[in-house]
Amino acid sequence: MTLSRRTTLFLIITVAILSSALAHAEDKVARGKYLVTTSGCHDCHTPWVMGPKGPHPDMTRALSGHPADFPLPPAPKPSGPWIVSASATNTAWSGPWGVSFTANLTSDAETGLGKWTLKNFKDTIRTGRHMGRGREILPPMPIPMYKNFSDADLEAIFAYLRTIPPVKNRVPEPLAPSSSVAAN
Amino acid sequence: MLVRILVLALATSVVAADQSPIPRQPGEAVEFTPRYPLWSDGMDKRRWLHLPAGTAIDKSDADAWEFPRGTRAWKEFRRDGKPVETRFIERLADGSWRYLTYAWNASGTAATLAPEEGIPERGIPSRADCLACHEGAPVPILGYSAVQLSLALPPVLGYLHGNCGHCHNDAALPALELSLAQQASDPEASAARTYATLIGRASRFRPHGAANPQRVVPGQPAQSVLVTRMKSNDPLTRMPPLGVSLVDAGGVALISRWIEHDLQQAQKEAP
Repeated sequence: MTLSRRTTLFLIITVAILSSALAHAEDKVARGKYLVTTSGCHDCHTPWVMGPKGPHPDMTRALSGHPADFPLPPAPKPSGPWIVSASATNTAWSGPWGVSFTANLTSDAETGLGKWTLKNFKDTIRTGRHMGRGREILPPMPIPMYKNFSDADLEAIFAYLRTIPPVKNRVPEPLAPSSSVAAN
Repeated sequence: MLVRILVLALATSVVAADQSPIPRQPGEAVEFTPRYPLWSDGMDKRRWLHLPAGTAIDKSDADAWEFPRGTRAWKEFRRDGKPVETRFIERLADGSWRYLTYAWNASGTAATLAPEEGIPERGIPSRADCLACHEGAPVPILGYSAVQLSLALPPVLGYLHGNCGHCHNDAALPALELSLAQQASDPEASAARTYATLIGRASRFRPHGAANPQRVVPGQPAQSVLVTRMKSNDPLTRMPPLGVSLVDAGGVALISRWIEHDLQQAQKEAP
């Protein structure tokens, strides 16, 4: 009988802990979604399309970055004070840094963040370098602001990004300022 | 403020009366040379290591030596016979590592602590850049290890280890599945992993216009992304991505020769 009570108590505690952990994980993903949708991630990482009310993000390709199947001619040369150009998708940006293409943030293993570790993600945002170690992340990615996210917020964002359905889209490499080639 | 005082105190202790950040007293630090040095734009480099009296390195893990608290290491960069920069690493009492960089004046007679953000126009790295390379390896002191001091490696593997392996290893960048670091505990296994993750493997980095680029294409250095990135002057393409501004022509020649001759020969001889 005593054993039965102990077993019951053990089960209750286990269920309580698991429920708490699950709720915590859900909270974290919800927090991540809140941050992603309020911090402008879709503005550049989700391709925009033209609709009857003007351009809007195409959520069927949410956060999949610059579409590889959207070839671009060379960017227009900067003229006077107009130094930045953006593609119709809002995913390719030309400026003094060259041409940058927004990254695929979906969970696709080969072309997105599927194989990234949390540390790779945090290091990228904190340092402004690809995976914290590679080339610099280019404008208009607002690294100077985002690097100030708390650890908890970055963990929440990454947890939410893991839930984004994978979209296979291999984003082109950035182009140097001197480059005049087309994007694809 | 406290940090500032600490940094000043350290700077004062390191920069001796003659304004040299390098320890001068015999026995205070040992000079060493790694077998597989990092290319640093062709500059001459000297390195010193200091352990507190009565301490020793715990070498029980051949690939992750445990340095005692208080370990200090210096690396001096010289161009045209004059010191231009001295980098400094110290293991603190709490086990963490501190990174500082000193910039020498034009005449090479005095050095001052570089700011946190480095001095980009002189190629002097920021503190964050220090971490980018040094904290990717099992131990932040990169040149003083079993591999770097005593392991005889084929030149290609030694070059890749010394120049690429501190970031390109399975612990730091697992997503890339590219391991260029060698292990003293099992050199055959680490060499096999390097070859397997390089030769004939699809490259994540895709040069514009390349349909199905591979990291290394046996017999074809010009088609091998490894060589493309080593030879590039474009900061967005160049590897390593920081700490260099000039292509290592000797390194490119070494890797190109290996791809063009050794790998092609190996393929011909394969059953």
